[in-house]
Formats: sequence, structure tokens, C-alpha cells
Amino acid sequence: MPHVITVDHSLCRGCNLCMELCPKSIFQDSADIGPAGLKVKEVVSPDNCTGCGLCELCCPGAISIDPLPHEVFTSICAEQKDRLVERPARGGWKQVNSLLTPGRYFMTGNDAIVEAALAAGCRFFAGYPITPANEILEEMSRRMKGLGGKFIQAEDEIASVFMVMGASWAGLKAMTATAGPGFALMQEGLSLADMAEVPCVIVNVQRAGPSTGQATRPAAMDMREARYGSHGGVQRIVLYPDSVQETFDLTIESFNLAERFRVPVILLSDGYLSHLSEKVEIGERLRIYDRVYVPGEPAFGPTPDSSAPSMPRFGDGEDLQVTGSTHDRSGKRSTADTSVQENLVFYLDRKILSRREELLDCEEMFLDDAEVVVVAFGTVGRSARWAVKEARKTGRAVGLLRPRVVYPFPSQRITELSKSGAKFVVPEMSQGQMSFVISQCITNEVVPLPQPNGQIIDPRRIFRYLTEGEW
Amino acid sequence: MQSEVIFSGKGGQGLGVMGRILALAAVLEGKEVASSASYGGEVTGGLSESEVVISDEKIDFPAVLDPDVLILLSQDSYKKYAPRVGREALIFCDPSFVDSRHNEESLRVLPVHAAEKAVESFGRGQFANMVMLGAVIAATNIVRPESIIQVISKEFEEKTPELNEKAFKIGLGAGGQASCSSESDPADGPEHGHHPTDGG
Repeated sequence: MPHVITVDHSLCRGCNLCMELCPKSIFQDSADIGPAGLKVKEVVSPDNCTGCGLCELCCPGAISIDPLPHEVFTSICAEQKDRLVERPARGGWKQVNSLLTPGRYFMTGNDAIVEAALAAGCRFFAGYPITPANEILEEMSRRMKGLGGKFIQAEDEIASVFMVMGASWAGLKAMTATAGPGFALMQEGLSLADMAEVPCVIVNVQRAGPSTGQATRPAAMDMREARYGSHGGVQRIVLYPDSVQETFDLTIESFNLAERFRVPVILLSDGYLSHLSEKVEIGERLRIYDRVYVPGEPAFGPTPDSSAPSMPRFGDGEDLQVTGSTHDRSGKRSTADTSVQENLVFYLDRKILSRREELLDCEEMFLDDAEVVVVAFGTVGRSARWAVKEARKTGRAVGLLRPRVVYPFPSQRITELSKSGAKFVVPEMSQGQMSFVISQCITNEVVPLPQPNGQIIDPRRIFRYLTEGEW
Repeated sequence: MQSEVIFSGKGGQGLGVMGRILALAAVLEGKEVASSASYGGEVTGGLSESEVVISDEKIDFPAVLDPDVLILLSQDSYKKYAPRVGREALIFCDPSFVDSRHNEESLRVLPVHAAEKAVESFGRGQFANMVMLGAVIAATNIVRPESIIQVISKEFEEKTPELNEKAFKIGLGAGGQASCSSESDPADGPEHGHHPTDGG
């Protein structure tokens, strides 16, 4: 709005470029004929100008855009500020009705993600097809329109994740879904989401890698990438369910956490869980969190208590910049100041770490007297639970710890359990990734049980290890 | 009580649909169910499998460990599973696709001429999977036939529920006979085991 646009009629050739390019259609033909013998253009609605500069850039010389005179600009700003004060704050916890009729459903893991995301208020999905996450994209394309949301099949995963971030700043809850190779492409975007504090949910349906590996087969080979894949390496929230019901519940939880912490939340699944059909009980009401917006509050951290800052959306009239570069609390770039950079990075970590107690979420079984603690994540937890129960029947003192929230890593709980001198056993659908994370927390013996063969782990194999020590 | 069922054959034989119908019928009866399907890179013609675990209690491990019932609709599937199971498992196969004769002493095999019956009744093999499912339900009682019929009418609502139901009922009849003939004449010789449903 704060721009003066002039068209020099002695130079206008009547080429129509400005009319075609202007996204706000502020130009039209005037009655005058110019030197080239065509109608010269005039500005009809200068108030709609966003100052994008496309017309000036492409015009052969007739158009110039100038910022408004300073006095006019400041008076407009003051007027906007007054309006901001009147605007109500929004966001926080609320109860919503479930989209599906409450009751018992039989659905796949991928369908559960879609249903839960839509119930949690997700109204934007951008993605690129990839096995075994395809059904999420397909179902979203069917459902989004009917709910007034937006679905875009992007040209690739890089575009998908950036579209998701744009939608998030436009005020929508947004998500994308992919598998290993696509997740790797998204890492740059995720780093921007960390830095610019963009709430969004990224589903990674893991498959056997590296690279295109076994596209249709399950694995848990992105466990560390989910946390450490992006440059900058700030803390992440990563969840990994073990059943279709839990997939539904944790998808809703992912959106709530993304909105509360203003971070990208990674929801892991895998090629088995995504196509496994199980019963899902859907209740009548859901507890949903919407990002908080307080007019006039700075939109970025560091906040005094390391909580997530207020998040406006485009069009709220706030004066801010969204950038991946080091910035101050209004978003203004500050790429030379060492203390701004350091405070910002520590704050991004602290935002998650200072609430890690609250984020702790583990399934625990037979841990009181366990001499051997099996630690399993996601689908492997199903194999581990079977094996641990069977081993208990033979009198072995084994227990199970299954973190639903993988990161922030429940290192405190692992440390507590290590005090009894227990041995830790970590079966994984990979060459062994989380076993190293565990051995970094404790000095107890940590035994990796790796199986990177593109199959879910046969529980009898874990049982044999627990009873005979063979892998 | 836990039943573990494997459907295995080629893509295009309707294995996924059979698995899904069985699973939904079990859900309808209030049971705990886990079901998964797998297929190779090429779908039609490639190895296609579907498995269903049905239990009265919460299912710890959702995949099949020791199959109780196997429906094998291609020679490759038969070759894959026959060496892995013993006489405690019940194998259904369609003799149009599977030659099971040399293994009948060590296995409990119930041949069901599902494809032939489908062609006989409908002029095409399209409903062979429902004929086979009918035979399986008649012989095993994993779920009640009424539950399957209820699921069929809902799942195929926009297609041809009545033809699928008819195919299922033909299978029910054939399966009853297959199971009787197998019990009275347990794998006595290849000829006996191989033609129990020819008359139906």
C-alpha cells in the first residue's frame, strides 16, 4: 500500500505487460493514445499495490514506483497500530468435535494419519508421491477440498516442505508426508522451519534404504536423520507410534505440539505400519491446540521463559519479516551480531529441552525388577512386546521401554533404569542407530540387535536372544 | 483364541479383498484384528499377499507367526509356504493354479475349484475369490458366514454385492463338502484329495 505509482505517458508504448503481470490488476487502458499508436495505461486502484515491483521491473521505462512520502507512511503505520490493539488475541486449547462419527473403525496406518490430521484442523497438504506414503497424499487429495482446505501435489519434496511453511504463515495447520529419499530433500526446508519457528507436521514413512533401497519394504533407518539431518542441529520433536490407534493419537499430538512449540514436528511411521490395518476407536471430542497470537507482541524468540512466541499470520497487519537468517525478535536480520546468534540458537534448543519432562512419553512393561531392558521404537515395539512377554513366561527378568516420543530423547528415564545395573538390548530395523544414542547416556552394557533386511523383526528372534543370547 | 490366516497368490486374484472382507467381518464380531497386505513392484501378476490375525485379546505382534489357515492361489505361493507348515495348518488351494499332489501326506490340503465354479456360474473367473472365501469360512468357522455377507453388502455397495454374495454362498456349499471329504478320507491318495468338490 505505501507506494506511489506513476506511468509516464510520453514513454508508455501500450504493450500491456503491466496489465498482464500485476497480481492486483491495478493498471488499465486509458483513453489517450500514446506515441506508439496504442492506448497508454493508467493506475486505477493504487491502494491495492503491494509494492512487489513487477511492473517497474518489466516496463520498458514508463512506470516507476516510489515509496510514499515519509509523513504519509508514518501516519498509515500509526493507524494500523491502533487497529492492531483492537484486534483480539487468539489461540490456545479448545475442544472440537471429531470429524468422523464416533465409533470403531478399521483402517490402515496411512489412513489414520489423514483422519487424525484433518480432525486436528490440518487444512493444507502439499506433497510429492512416494511409496509407502502415497495413500496419505491420495486420501488428502480426496478430502481436503470438501473441508475447505488446500491440497497441492508439488513438483518435488523441496517445494512441498516450503509450501507447507508458507501455508503455516498464512495461518493454516499444514503438513506433508514422505519417505526416506524425500525426507532427505526436505532437510533444508526443515532447518528454515527450525529457525523461523514455523509450526508444521512432517510425516516420514520409513522404508529400507539407503537411497531408493527397497521402496516397498519397512525399515527404521531415518531415526537419527529425523533429529540430526538438518544443518544447525537444533532440538526436534520426533514421535513414532507402534499401532494404528497410536498413529491416530500421535498424529493429533504432533499437531498440538507443533502449534504449542512453533516447531516442525516429525511423525515417523514405516512401510509396515503404514499398510497395517487395525481397529481404531474414535471418540466424540478432541483436545486441540491452536497457535497463540497476541497483537503487537514480537513474533520471534528468544522469549523470557523460552516458550513459543506469538504467531501472527499474513494479513494480520504486523510489521515483521520471516527469515532463515539470524534475526531479532521482530524478525529483522541481524547476521553480524554474535550475541543475537548465540542467544537465538540456545533459545531454540531450550524451547524444547526446558519442557522435556512434559514431553516424556514411554510405554513401560515389567521394568521394576528387569535385569534386561529391551528398548524398542515404533513397529519394533510390537515384536519386542511379544518377545518380552514370552520371555517373562520362562522366568527371565526382562522388561520393555518403548518411547513414543523419540526426541527429545528420554535420557533421564534411561539413566534411572541404568542404576540397577541392567543390560540394555536394542532391536532395530536398521544397522543399529538408536543403540548408540542409548550408549551415550549410560555406561551399562548396551547390545544392538540390528536387522536392516527390509522386514519387520520376527519376535521369536528377539525371544531367542533373550533366552539363549543368540542373534 | 487366535487365528492366523495367510492369503497368497498373484496380483489380480483379489487376495487383498479377501483379506479385507475377512478382517472386517471379524471386526464386526467385536474381535481384535490386524491385517496387512504386501505386493511386489509390479502389481498384476507379481506375488501378492495378505494376512489377517484375529484374536479375542489385544494383539501384541500383528503379523502372522504360525499360520493356521493358508489360502494359496499360485504355484509360487504353494512352494513358498508348503515347506514351512505342518499338519496343524489347513491349506486351501485352487487346483486350477496349484498342483499340490506330491505333498498331500505331510500337509492338510483342501482343494477348492473356485475358478472353475466362478466360470460355471458367472461366465468368468472374476468372483473366484469370493467362492474361495466361502469355502474357507465353511471349513474353518473363523467368523460367522452372516458377518461376511453383511460386510460384502456394505463393501461392494456400489459394485455388485448380490453377485459377490452369490459367489460366497456357492463357496460355502463347496467348502462344506471339501471339509467333509477331507475328514472322512484324510489324504489317502492324490486322486481322493484332489477332486472332492467336482460333484458340487
